[in-house]
Amino acid sequence: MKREEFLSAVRTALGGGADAPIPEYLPMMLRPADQRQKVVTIEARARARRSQLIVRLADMAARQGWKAYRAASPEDGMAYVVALAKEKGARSAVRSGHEVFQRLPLDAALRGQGVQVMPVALGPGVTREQLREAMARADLGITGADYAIAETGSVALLPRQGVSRLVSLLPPVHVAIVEAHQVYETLDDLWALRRMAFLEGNGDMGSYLSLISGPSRTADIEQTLVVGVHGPLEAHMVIMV
Amino acid sequence: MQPRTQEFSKLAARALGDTQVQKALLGLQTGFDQARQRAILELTPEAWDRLRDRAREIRRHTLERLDYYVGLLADNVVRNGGAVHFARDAHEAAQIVLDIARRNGVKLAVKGKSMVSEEMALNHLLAANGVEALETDLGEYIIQLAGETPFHIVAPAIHKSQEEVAELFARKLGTPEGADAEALTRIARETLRQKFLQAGMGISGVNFAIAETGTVCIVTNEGNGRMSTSLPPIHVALMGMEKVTPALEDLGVFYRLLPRAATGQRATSYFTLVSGPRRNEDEDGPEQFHLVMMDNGRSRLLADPELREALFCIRCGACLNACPVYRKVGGHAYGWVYPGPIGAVVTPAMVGLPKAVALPFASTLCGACREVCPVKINIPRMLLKLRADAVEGAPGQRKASWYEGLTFRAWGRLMRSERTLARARGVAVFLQRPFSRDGWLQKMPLPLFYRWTRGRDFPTLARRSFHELWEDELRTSSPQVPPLR
Ligand code: SF4
Repeated sequence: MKREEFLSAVRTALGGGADAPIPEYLPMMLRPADQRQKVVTIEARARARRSQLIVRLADMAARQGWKAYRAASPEDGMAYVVALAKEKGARSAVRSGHEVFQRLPLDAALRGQGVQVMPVALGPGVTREQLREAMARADLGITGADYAIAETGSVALLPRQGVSRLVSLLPPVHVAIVEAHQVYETLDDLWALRRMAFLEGNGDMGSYLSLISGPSRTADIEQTLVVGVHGPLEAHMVIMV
Repeated sequence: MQPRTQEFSKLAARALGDTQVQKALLGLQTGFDQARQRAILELTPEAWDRLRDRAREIRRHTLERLDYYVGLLADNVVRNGGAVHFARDAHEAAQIVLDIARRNGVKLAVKGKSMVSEEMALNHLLAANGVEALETDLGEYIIQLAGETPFHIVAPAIHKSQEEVAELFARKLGTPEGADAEALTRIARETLRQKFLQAGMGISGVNFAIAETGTVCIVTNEGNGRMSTSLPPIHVALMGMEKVTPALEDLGVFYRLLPRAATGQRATSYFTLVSGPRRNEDEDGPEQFHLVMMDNGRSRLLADPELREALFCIRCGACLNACPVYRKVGGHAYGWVYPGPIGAVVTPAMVGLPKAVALPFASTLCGACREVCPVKINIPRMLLKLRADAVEGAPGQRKASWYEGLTFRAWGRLMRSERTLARARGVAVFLQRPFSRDGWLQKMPLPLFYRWTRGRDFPTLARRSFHELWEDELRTSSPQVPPLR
């Protein structure tokens, strides 16, 4: 069916003509400057309440089924991940290219424990297929975060260079490293921030956003909760305080 | 899917006699429904109510200009690099998906949960044309293995016991017998993991679609939704056209309502926003993104001011869990894709009222559905309207049977005069004698009454009427009360 036919059938059902004015919808009418102001307010609020938000994030994350850990220092956070790898008997890990890993020598720490670490990076000799293979085989998937939302204990991930959504999806254990400045209060904050990105990106906010709020789960058999279906069986959130 | 909506009574009777189904239905009350109530308390009932009102406003606004928002969504999906397809009905929609599969030589498609694909009977069409379509949501996977249809819109296999599923897996997949829920889930994980990696196409449903940004949003817990939208080289998203919403901010309302109303969760494990295929610089994702927008009877609901509200539905399933009829007869009795109270409203629009005439009558009109609905849809009012349509007969539709008409005309005459009523009562008290036992009528003559007593007893008429008792009362009590006549 042609688009015009389809839309005109809808119009007929509504009893209106093609010349009806464009409806007004508040969020869509905000100018970039107004949105910028909104974002500034959100950022200021998050900064002012950072320590409370981190406590709330850890609490909600735990309720959502994450193993949440508040790391007192970068070393503490790395030690947590290394201990986890050891506990799981992990032999391989894939790691996404989030910025935090430029500051955190996690690869070295893991390699020191005999864990093979594969960063997500296409390059000479590394094809998409090879990367995918590695992600499908890895024992650990380690990511940073783009945002963390206290309200729902969630981590949001966006497409970036060196970032694959498969890292948080294919391995049986997902570890998300959250930095304090990434923590926001509510889902509304997240949508406001994404609108800003949408406006700044000339109408492109990236091909996806994954909001992750715990390990994969199901209750499809007799409503019995089972954690670990197609996605990770375990999800760890390490918050760098 | 071939509607079996005309067999409601038969299918309902079957479910009522099935002890396993009855047990599972009881579980829905203690499970989903109570979880929903706890989630609302956590948020506070006031905040919940504000969200519901806001959701109604958004839905009303969107539907009033659905043409504009559907067009805007299409424009923006294209701007993101995706393709948009429009389908008047389910058949056309299924054909579109098949064409995409053929053009790209797809042999295997992995599917996330999609009720719209059930409307399309998509799996059958694909299979008949050499494309294997594999359900990956655990509940849907079970249903597909069993060759059944979903029993519930959120938990499709909820009517099956763990033993039944274990037996099914053993038979179909050769896995050990007696596995528990956890073991069965792991089996599904292992079996389907390979398929995700091999599939040439991923098919998903759409919970919300944002017009302004050209984004489809998918709410899942299992991770299969993320897999089928990121691993295969082609992603096809299927949506009923009413799922469109204007702006990103609307998610602040709908993503707070849906998980709580559906399963009592404050957030599902995954909420996935997809805005087109992978960009050049992305490390993964599909090369093609297709959005199929389907009407299939929805414009019929849209055109009827009394039924338009049915399109507010966000398919949370709460009204099923709350409905005293669904809780007894279950999902298969309704004979089509959407069961329960909301199914009784939308099914007639999709398969035609004459075929689905039993559904609007399968309700006590108690109002529980409206009370739990996150969008406060007034389902009972719409059921009444459909009943009126069915009986008064919009052109070409069923009229009431002659004896039903006669009975109600007689009833009308009786009720107009107290004297006639009293006399008729006297006759009825006399006539009921041979049929009554301990104050109950267990079997009555005449088709209308017979059908009532086929499934339950009817209380006998009291020896003395309320009128008579009241007269006595007046005679013996204070004289200020004006007499009844
Ligand atoms: S009618 Fe309301 S309660 Fe029923 S499925 Fe739709 S949104 Fe949920």
